[in-house]
Amino acid sequence: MKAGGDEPADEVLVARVRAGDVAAADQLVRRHLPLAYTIALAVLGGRTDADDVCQDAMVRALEKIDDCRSPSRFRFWLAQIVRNHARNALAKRRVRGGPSLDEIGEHPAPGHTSESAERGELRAALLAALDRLPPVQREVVLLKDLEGWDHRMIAAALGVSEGMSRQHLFVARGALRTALGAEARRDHLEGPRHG
Amino acid sequence: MDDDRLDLSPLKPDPERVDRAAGAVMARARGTLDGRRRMRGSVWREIPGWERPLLATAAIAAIVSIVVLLRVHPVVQRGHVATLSEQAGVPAPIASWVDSDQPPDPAALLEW
Repeated sequence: MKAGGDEPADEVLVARVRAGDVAAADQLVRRHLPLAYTIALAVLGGRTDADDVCQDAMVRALEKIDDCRSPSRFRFWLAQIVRNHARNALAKRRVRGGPSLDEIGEHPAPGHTSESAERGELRAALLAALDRLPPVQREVVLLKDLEGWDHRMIAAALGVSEGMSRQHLFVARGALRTALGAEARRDHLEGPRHG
Repeated sequence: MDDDRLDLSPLKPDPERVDRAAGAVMARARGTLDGRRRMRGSVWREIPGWERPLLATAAIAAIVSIVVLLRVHPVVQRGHVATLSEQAGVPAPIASWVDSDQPPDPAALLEW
């Protein structure tokens, strides 16, 4: 996968990381952390441990970088590692019966501006709506609308056909619009929620 | 452009969050990267690169050895076809017992 501008491509960075180049590793991590977070979020459905999962998966990827057979497809390889880590975390959480973000709510920290509070509320509403989707639909809609992947990439990453990817996207977008519309109507009827 | 696209940008981790996470990942991976740098240039790292030449050399050495051994100890001597027991270096009396397919008598055993 080519990087934009003068930035070195993934395969170049992977080769440097294999030689122990810290700066290259840092660049690779920063480039792909948002994607790792998106995948973790998709599998965990808005769980609070998406951060931990994506960090664990990133560390694992750096440790096992020799196993990446196609460095130019590093992001697909990383996505699979994150997906596996997230599924394991989800299984453990189910056993322990931990709460989801939907259950505990995600509120902006005190001292935040009203704009960031508004964004926090929107984020919480989105997470709650995403949590109601099946994992494959969550992943398709997040990869498409958040990461900007095309259906060919999504199909390759998830092992589904491009047609199925389009179908998942269509259903997921519809469900999210419905859920967010209902949320907005409820807010309008009940007024802003505090605390 | 995809007009039907949903705006999910509030879900994107903000730059400070990415910074913090990247810092945490790099702190945990530092040991691995240091180890990789140390390994670079060491003997063990060079070995995989020599795998093919070493295999080719071993194959040539094996062929030369077989040819030399066949010349020094020919299996088939003039007018005599060596038995399997002889080729294996089994002593002649025992080889004759083996080849005859008959059990040796106790006297012959004691004598030998």
